[in-house]
Amino acid sequence: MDDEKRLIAQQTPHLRRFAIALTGNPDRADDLVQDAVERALRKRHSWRRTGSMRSWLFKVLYRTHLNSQARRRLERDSADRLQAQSQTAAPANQDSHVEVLNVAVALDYLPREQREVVVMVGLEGMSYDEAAFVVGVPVGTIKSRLYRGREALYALRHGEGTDHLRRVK
Amino acid sequence: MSEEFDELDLLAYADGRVTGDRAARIKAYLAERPELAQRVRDFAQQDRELHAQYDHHLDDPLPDRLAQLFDEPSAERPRARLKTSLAQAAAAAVLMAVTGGAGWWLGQSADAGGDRGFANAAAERFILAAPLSDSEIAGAQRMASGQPTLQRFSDRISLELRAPDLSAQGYRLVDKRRVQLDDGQSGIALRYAGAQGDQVQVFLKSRWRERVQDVRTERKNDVTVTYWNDGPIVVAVASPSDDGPAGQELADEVQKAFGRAPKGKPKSPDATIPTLEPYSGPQPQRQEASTPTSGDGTAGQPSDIQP
Repeated sequence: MDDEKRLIAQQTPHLRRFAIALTGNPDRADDLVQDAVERALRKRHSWRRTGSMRSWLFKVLYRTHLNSQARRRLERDSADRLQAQSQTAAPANQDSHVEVLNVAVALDYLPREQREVVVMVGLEGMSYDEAAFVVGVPVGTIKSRLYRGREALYALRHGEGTDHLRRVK
Repeated sequence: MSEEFDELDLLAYADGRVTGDRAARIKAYLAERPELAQRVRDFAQQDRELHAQYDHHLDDPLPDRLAQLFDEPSAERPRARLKTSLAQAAAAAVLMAVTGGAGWWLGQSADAGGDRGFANAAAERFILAAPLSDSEIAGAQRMASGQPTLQRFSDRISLELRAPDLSAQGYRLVDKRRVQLDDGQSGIALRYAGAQGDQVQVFLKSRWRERVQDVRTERKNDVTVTYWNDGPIVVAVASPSDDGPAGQELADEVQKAFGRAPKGKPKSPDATIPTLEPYSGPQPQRQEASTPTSGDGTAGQPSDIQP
């Protein structure tokens, strides 16, 4: 096993934890990690050795996640259109009655951009700079998303309601 | 008029990215605003709950289809999930082989190649290290202006040593953690931050050798590791290869800190000699115990390291 492959293997449990927190679904998380690791193994010789292997791997996983989200959205839109033709729409605020018990459940209500940054910083311990590298946005954007995400979690956990939020997973 | 802090200041405070006087001022600010203080406390509680919810996945055996990605030669892409206990055992065995202690670039065990296995593990750890956080870099920059740097450690480990003080070289100790190194033994990784955002790591492991080993340097993948053993400890200093003479200077300083004269220079008579205490043996541990340091310590004060 070459050096890079060995390093990727060592980081795989961390990628998996991150993916489970991102998707909230272990099977989908394993699909995501499998896609990302395969991609990283193929591209491993292009990794810039002056940077952190960890940051590079999380960036690969994050990009893979975005691509799979886009695919899922297309599939979901298509399915929604089919459903709309045959059924009456669900009540508008149905999700607002879901009782939020912990932060993991509350995460589901956050917009994707906020959820990602909360998990990167809060769970994976990334610095703002590292999260900015992984997501590919300025550090100020990371801080802003993180603050809004934490505020939303606070509101959810303290019973301030979910009327203005929609469960996104 | 009292100082005002905005939401991003409070966020950075909640995330532990504010230290020293500024942290104290924010703390005082929050003391007068209980509702805001509760919000900031909740931010930190969110992180604790995230860890409680997800950390156990780090100990899961890798699903078979992920473990097989690292088999040699590359296997066909397996999509089916195997759920038998036999399959899970196989996955765990593969992972153990992947993460075992053999040298990763030299391909030799620690005993066969002096402490090359240890040096390999040190370089590997260095490559995997996260970039320095904003607060760590800020702390190193404060150190450059003469502010306090080191903090005394209190963890128990088997060797009583003192962390090398590299402040004269522009590096501040920011983190100490127990890590798994070669042949399953645990060691200590000391992480130093430079003011430019660069980092250097010193790895220590207890291993008694009567015969003092010459200092050796290995270089691979843009990481230079200088390592040696001297009585009760094996030491490896990992730094980016492009550091050049600066990296060598750091390695020399670490040698001096552990009572060894670098590059043939006479040993300082007053150098602190590490003392050996009963070694408790390997201490396998999946979760690394980290002791981040803050900038609140005493400048130049050596830190106790007790594996």
